[in-house]
Amino acid sequence: MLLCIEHLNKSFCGNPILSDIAFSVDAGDCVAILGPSGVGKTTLLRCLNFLERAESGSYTLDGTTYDLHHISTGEIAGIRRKTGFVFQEFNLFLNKTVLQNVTEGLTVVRRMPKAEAEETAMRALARVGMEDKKDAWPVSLSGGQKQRAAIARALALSPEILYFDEPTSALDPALTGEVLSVMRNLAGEGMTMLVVTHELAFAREVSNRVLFMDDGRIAEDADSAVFFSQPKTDKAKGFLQRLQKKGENET
Amino acid sequence: MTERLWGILVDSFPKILIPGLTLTIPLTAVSFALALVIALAVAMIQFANVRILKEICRFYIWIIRGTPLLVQLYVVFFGLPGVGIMIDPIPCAILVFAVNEGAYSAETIRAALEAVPRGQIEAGYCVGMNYLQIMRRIVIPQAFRTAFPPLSNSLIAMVKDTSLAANITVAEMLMSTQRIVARTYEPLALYLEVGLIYLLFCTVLTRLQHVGEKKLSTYLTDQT
Repeated sequence: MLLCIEHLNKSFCGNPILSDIAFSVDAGDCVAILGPSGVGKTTLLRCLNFLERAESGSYTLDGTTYDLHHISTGEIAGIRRKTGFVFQEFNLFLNKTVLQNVTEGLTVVRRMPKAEAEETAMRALARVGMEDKKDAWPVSLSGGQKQRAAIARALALSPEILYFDEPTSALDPALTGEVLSVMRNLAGEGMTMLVVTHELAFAREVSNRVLFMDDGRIAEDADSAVFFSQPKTDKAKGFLQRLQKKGENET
Repeated sequence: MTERLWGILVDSFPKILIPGLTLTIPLTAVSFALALVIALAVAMIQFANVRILKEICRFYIWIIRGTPLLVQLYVVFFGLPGVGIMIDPIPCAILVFAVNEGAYSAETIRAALEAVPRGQIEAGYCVGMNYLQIMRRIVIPQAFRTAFPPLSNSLIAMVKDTSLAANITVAEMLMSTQRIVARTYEPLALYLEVGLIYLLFCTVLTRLQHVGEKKLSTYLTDQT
């Protein structure tokens, strides 16, 4: 077991957003977090990298357990060193080229010599098919290229787990494919991934497990095949039907 | 134009220009550099929301922006000796100009810091950087690009505001001109002449602004 979350609670201004969340992820798992909008999927992911502070809960990564609320800045930095985060809005550093975006964490945080950092960065860029764009400024890239560069930035730090927060939601439908195929390759290579997504096909074909969230709780935690063929809760059934219908209408 | 007037203008040109080069320009450069240091510190304290310091910064900005620059000069130069604090004219001018401009530029820089998309700060944290590394390497460079045109405004304004130092006995360009006017009784021609020299200085700064802006904007251009 690589990651284990227990009793995670989070509220905004007294409104509970996440209640008693518990799940675990094994090394090599690709876990899709599904559910309707506004049920706390993104908040959950952000709590896991301390972009939001949970009120309570425990976080076990790689055998070390932390308190999700009472945790020092140093411990947070330690956790972030082992994890990667990919944002819906890419959040590339606009004043850095693609290559500099990827080397930034290596040289500034890991204190890696520049030449070695660039080599590592180029390997990461190769994995997402962005070597030829290494000197481009982020503003000159398409959304799909931006997201692939952002994935390379996270990959270069060789994280033990990658968090994806709706990585294709800000993209033109025509551009989601290139990002999804990069993610599919990563999953194939055994990268541990936790993916908040609305892409049912990705969840069904790539992820091996699904966490279905509803109303701030994990309503179902099942193997992907099981979840898609025999959803247990009515909410999950309704959710799948709605999205499948929408998918059919679009094709 | 009479030969006499032309002679006065030619004769006075170096007499006005030299204090411009030795006083107006250095006074502006030193004051503005200090102002930027103050402004960056004040802006960052507010941006980072440091509790008590933030209130002190707001108070500073309130006082400085709410009172005339000339009054501030008088208070420090003519007023403070009354409580035993004597400052020489030039250091006094530098102090007042820097503290005054610091308050205005602090707001410019704060706005520019706030204009940098928050997501980049989060991304910085996620690659393991700490707050100061993110500020220094990601946020401040982008904020500087945004703040550059309004800061250039302030610098150009300050070149002209240094003429107020004539009121506290600093013999800069305006005071040098006044002395020549007192001797020659040619106010129109001589004040136009000093105005032209100010215009010359500001034209150079305007050019430099264009060059600087272009340099700072490379990452916003579409070329790869």
